[in-house]
Amino acid sequence: MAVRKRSYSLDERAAAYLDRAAKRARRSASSVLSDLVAEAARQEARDRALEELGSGVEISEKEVRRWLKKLGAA
Amino acid sequence: MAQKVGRRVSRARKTSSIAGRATRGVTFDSGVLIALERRHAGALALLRACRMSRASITIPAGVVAEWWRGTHRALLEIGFLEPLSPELAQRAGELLAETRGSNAVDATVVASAAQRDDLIVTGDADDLGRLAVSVRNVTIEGLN
Repeated sequence: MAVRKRSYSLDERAAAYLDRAAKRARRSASSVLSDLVAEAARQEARDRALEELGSGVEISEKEVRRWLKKLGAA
Repeated sequence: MAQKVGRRVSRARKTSSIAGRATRGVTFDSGVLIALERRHAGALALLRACRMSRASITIPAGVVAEWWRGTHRALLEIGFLEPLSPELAQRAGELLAETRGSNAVDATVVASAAQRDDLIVTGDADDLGRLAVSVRNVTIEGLN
């Protein structure tokens, strides 16, 4: 459900980027902005989960690279 | 010791420098979330890879019901919690009919991932593999 917020402002570069991204995706600036913030929130949750559950666990870099390949990121 | 730590840090930097943005999303089944709660190193490596590559993670609603028991709330926020739409439920039912399967949650995982050509990561690759025989655009990976 969308929540109406009126108290935020963007700096010029951020606003220009948002306009370009919205035009490119043919979507409203609000929905593009919402996606960007939602992604930042997910990344922050991943950090929290890794901090909470991964502390003291030896995570193999080889295994991380293997997953990066599977995700098409390496 | 300092040398060992230094080597580990530099290897981690090397991995982060090779990571681009993920070109494929990933759908989790409950086995992955349980493994994360149990601090399974392989599952944590997957989560780190998703973090580094900003991969899109989808967790179908049925998986949440199967896994969520009220702890480790951060795991609920690591990806998109996909509601069960009538269309998704129908596709899952068709998959069960095609494969004579009976696990509705597993079927929604496969049907969900198929919408996006996702990688499915699961604790039980055999079960999901059977459901996905007629689905060409998903890849199933088990946790080591």
